[in-house]
Amino acid sequence: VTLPPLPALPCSKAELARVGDRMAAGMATAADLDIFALALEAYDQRRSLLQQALAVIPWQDIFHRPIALSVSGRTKSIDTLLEKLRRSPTLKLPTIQDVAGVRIVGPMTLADQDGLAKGVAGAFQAVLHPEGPAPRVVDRRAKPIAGYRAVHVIGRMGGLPIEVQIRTEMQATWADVYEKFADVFGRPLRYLSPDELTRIANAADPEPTTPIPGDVAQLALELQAISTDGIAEAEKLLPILAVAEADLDRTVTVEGRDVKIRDVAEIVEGQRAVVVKTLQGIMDKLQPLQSEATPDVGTEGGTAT
Amino acid sequence: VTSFLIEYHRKTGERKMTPFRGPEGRAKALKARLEADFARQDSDIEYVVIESASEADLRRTHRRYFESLHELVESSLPGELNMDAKFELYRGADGKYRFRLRARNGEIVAVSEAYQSKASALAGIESTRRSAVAATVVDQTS
Repeated sequence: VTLPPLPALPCSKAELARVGDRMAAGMATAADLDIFALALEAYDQRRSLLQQALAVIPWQDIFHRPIALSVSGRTKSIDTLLEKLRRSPTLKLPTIQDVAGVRIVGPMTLADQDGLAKGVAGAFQAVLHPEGPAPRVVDRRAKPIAGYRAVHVIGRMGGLPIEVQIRTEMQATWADVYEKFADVFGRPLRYLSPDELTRIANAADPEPTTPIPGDVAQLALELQAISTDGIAEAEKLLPILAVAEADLDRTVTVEGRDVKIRDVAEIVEGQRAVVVKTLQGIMDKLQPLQSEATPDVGTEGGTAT
Repeated sequence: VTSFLIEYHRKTGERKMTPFRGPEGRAKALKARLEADFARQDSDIEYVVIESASEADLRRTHRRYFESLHELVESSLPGELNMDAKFELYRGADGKYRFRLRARNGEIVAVSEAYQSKASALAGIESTRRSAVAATVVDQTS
């Protein structure tokens, strides 16, 4: 892949930071919005080129099997960018890492996911930006944010960061469920940690700073646990079962401990039961909560044109 | 490669999608998105452009725009738990109508008597549905 010339930012990064600050403060001028539009176009061109480069890499060589990966990319919506800037005043528009992003979803094990992250980092470095700093691999499986687990690779193209989100199918589904949950019950849920949710769930009086009701916070906690406990555990253990299911008395080493395959199967079954129970509980609670949040949720009225 | 401009209502799930194709598609879609985004009145509406090789890829990486929360959660449940209990109306080899109650796990919980007409079988379902709610439990084993 030979890179065509990349468009430069329409202004200095310091100026772009000020444009972002003015937009976040609701004081942007028409000229600011023009600069923002040009900057976003510069990000998006890089994103699109990266996506094209990733599309021609023969990933089955990494997985040693044919694998159906879905790839898509976007630049972040304005309100999500501005929310981010408002949440942490020290953050500036040009330092946000995921203004432009590519997402890859596929039927991967955790090891596959690591392999793909390495491959993407290699693509960044070898093909797209040989002279730049090494791309950063951020493992959100080790450090989930508000329950979110994935592996991100952040590299730079022509001076701007592009984030590649790599998600297994379970991680992707969970992320969509949780974000949809936040769409319906309150966007701040996307950033609330288990500690904060516990505090809201247990508060005697609703707190004016977070418009999240206690029962919703409780559901969010349970949803986050599905990701950080249930799915995390299942993703670790399911491959062991897939290989060795027939031999229940065999001993394998999991994270430095010797365990019988039989015990692994029992743990997985237990996790599955917890996940199913939580999801069913959420389904049961969904109906009354949804009709409170909005009268017409559940009637998916989308039309593809 | 197609750039899909999506207008998505976060609370209702309503969605309008416009595909932009061709060499200028990406830039045109982004321009249209930004114009809509700058003029946005309703903070529950999200404008996004997603580029992917096909709509199927998009539906896999961004399910949230295409499925309700109920559908997303339901599809995550194992298949046999994937439905609520239901009454099934059927016509037997004898030409008579019956109904059965099938549980979430697929098991048949109860089978009705035979009815001569479909209308009376449907009435039987309604009657069962109503009376089951208020029915008391009588333990005849003791």
